[in-house]
Amino acid sequence: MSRIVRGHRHTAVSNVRRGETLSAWLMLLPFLIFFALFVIYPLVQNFIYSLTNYNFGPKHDFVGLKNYIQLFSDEWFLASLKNTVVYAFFSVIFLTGLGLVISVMLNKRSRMVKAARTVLILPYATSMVAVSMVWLFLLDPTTGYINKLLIELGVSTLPTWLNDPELALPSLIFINIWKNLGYCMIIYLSGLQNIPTELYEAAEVDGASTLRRHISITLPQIAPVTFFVLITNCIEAFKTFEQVQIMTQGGPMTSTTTVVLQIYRRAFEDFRMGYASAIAVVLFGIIFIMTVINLLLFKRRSEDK
Amino acid sequence: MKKSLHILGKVLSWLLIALIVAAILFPFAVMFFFSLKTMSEIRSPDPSLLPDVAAWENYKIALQTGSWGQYFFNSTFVTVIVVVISLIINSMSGYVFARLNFRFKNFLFVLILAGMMIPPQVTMIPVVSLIRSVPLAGGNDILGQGGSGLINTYSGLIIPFIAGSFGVFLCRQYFVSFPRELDDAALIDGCGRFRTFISIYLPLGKPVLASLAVLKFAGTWNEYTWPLVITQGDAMKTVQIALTNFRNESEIRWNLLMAATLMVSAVVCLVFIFAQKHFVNGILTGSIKG
Amino acid sequence: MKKRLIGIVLVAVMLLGLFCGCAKDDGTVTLTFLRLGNDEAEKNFWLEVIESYEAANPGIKIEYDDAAIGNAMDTKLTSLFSSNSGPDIIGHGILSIASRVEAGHYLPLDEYMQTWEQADDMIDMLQDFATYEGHTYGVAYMPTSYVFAYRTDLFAQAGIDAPPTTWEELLDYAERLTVVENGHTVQAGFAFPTAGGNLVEYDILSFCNGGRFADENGNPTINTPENLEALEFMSRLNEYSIPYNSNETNPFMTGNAAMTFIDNVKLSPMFSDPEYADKIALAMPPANGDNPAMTFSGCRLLFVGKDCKNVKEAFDFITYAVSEAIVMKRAQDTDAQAVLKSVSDEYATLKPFNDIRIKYVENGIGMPVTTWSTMFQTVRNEMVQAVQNGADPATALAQAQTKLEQEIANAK
Repeated sequence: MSRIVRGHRHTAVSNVRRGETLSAWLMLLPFLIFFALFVIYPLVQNFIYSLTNYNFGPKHDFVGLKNYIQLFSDEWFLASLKNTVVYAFFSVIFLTGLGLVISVMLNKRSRMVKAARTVLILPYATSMVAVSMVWLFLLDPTTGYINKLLIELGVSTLPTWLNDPELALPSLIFINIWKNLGYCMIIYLSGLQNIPTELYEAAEVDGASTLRRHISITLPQIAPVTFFVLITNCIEAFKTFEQVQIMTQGGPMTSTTTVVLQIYRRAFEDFRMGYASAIAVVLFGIIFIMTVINLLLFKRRSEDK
Repeated sequence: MKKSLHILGKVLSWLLIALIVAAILFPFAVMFFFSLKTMSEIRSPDPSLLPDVAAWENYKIALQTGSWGQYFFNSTFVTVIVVVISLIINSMSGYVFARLNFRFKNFLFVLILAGMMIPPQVTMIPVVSLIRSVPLAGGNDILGQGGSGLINTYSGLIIPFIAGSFGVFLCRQYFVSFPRELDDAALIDGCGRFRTFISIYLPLGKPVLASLAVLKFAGTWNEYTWPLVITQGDAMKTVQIALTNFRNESEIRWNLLMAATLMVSAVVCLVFIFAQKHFVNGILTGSIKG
Repeated sequence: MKKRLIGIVLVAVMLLGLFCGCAKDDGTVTLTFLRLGNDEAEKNFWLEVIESYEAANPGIKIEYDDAAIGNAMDTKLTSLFSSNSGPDIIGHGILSIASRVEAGHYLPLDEYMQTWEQADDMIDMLQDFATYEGHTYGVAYMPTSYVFAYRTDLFAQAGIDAPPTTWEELLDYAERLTVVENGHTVQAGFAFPTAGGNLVEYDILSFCNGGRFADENGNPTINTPENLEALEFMSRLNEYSIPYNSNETNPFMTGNAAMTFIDNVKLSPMFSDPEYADKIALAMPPANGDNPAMTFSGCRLLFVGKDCKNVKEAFDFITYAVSEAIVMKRAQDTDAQAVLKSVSDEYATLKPFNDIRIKYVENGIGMPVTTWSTMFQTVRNEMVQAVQNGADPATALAQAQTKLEQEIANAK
């Protein structure tokens, strides 16, 4: 674990370090109080639930690993896991990559660029509930404007989008990318401000092309921020719920059911909070392992430089 | 050759931007046009994209459906407090994780990442229980029993948002790329850690603080589930809950829904436009790592 | 510097402390009421009912709240009950009974029902809905029937003079009423959803073929010849539909379909739109063979929550909310169906097609009142969608039965 967080390098001012631990805890205190109460406690509680058959009522018996064992033969859960991984993979790739490219392009001072940035933020400024409603409407096979546009373009076999098991998940992924590009842009832009212009100027003197300069300067300089974008998008993609609940309810068949949709259904529809908690613990485990892997990869890459 | 390649690259990049801008604007244009239609026009078999007659009064009608003044006040009040408190405690914690050394630091950091990974659907029940059993609030006794606690109060709405670790992670990732010489210089000058944070990291961290403010604002403003659970009745509703007023069981009133949605989203856009000068073309660029 | 830091911490804590709610206690009984659905007409109706009730019963105050259909209601209700701060009176669907009774969220109302004179006046089918394992838990206030609706103008254009009463007629009319332009269906003969939350339209076909989804012992009976026949019929009927999401607008509502099954209350806006008002009509759904015409009819009921400290007062408000005058007011204000036998005649003449709406309540079947009802919904939706995407109906049906049985075993 010590490799994960960059440790304090030896400095010439070690005499100040005596008070460091105290300062650290004091400065963390306000956050930690809230965090312990409203994040850690529910997390522990959730783990405890996962070992019981809690049904929001009198049932609260310890059932050991029964919930976890059932998961392996639960077709809904397995399908949701597959869908969620696909959803997260494509969302993260596009959001992290495209987001960076766009942010670099829009990191300029001009009226046009400012307008473009504001447009990009529109979907992020709109809630997922509203975005889902609008896209549901646009993608309607008969009255939706996407298909009306396709008719104008002379397409003969119209896709039925969310009603088609093959197209439903890709449609959801597209909408997620469409919505969250603005989020990535905000973070990338703030990261880009941290890169000293001298580095670019030096490279320009050396005659490096724009692309070359971005690869050799922007990418490594922005690595911690990229890591942040990657991790948060990944976590959010794994937790996707509202979009699916409003647009497809997991259908057609099981083609768009996601892990959190399963958690919701098991808990709030089937009243099997114990089982739902077990799914949440497994989801947590998966995201956790992926985050640690990413941490190590990024750590290694930044050490190579 | 090289020059034409450069121009080609420029053209391609602008094409990409234009394409994305168009893809984003199209749904919003549809929203806008629909916000100006009448319901009977929307109900007709084959409605055109543009409204027959622009019904601007839809915006007025939308705002008169329920007490939108109250909803906007609730959302703004809750969001502003969440943003202010989050900025303070998250940047402070982010700095600690980026720079200070103490026992359990790595463990704590991983815990903070882990805090983001549990879906709210399963943590909601324990959190509601906590909010309800805050001692001495809402008719509760000293043990937190007997009353309704912070349920249906602004505090109940605000507190769980502050606990999110997203901002800590963001600030840490940003501060970690500051050159260490900054600290060393400050420490040699006799500044304490807290002073270093206040006088060096906060001013230099303006871009990330502006980003965090926008992100936290958007996140809190757009939150649906928590206000839904914790508020009762019209007086405490937030704008996102109020938007469902236009989605009845009998029908979706698209014109009013679109009008209200655009107005609600516009607030976040305004915050972004106001904040973006702080995280774009940062005035300090270059001076940090000099 | 540490002082400043501690100062900030204190200010933050104090800021939060400032906004703590304060409770007041002045002797009045306050009842909280949470209702499923946020229709404006319905909300105004309830606010008026509460106002008149409070005027007649000083000392009782009712705090109204509602939650949109979909997941909002259950998320809210479950969270509140789990933290022992649930509402006193709850207006919710029949689907909620079994699970919430098992979890102890709803209180049994048997002793109160015995002293209530009007209890026998409730339409029988509706009172059955409120019973779970021998106890009564709720009082029906709003049937949510699916009706068979058709367009009289389109029927006339196609030379059809009466609604279909048999499946053969239904299929024949659907074909004749379908309009295809340039290879795209622009008008569906019969609109049937292919996506969405709850495809009860299939249930209506099954019911009209004598099919049921649970036996008297509460075991699932999905895989039966009647249900299979209905599923096969559905896939034939589907050719004359245009795909839509049941959570979105039914194409019938936008004039893009000639016939459909639709939730009664969803037709309200159409009946009040001059463009369509005189062009739509209701009829009983076409049945197959000798089977009687049945429909899917859900129901909303009023329950008393486990955290209620004034059950007597809560029940009194419930009886007020389903008293004759209020039931008629409701029918007038919101197009809702009447729930009392004594007002049936008056209700039938109140608005056009009310005579049929009453029949829908009397011949309505709801979701099975069991803990596996929601799982049944999911399994049924997947089965219908699988068939719509080309799966073999017999296989799909058999798989659905197996899957549901497996789920029920797992939940034990």
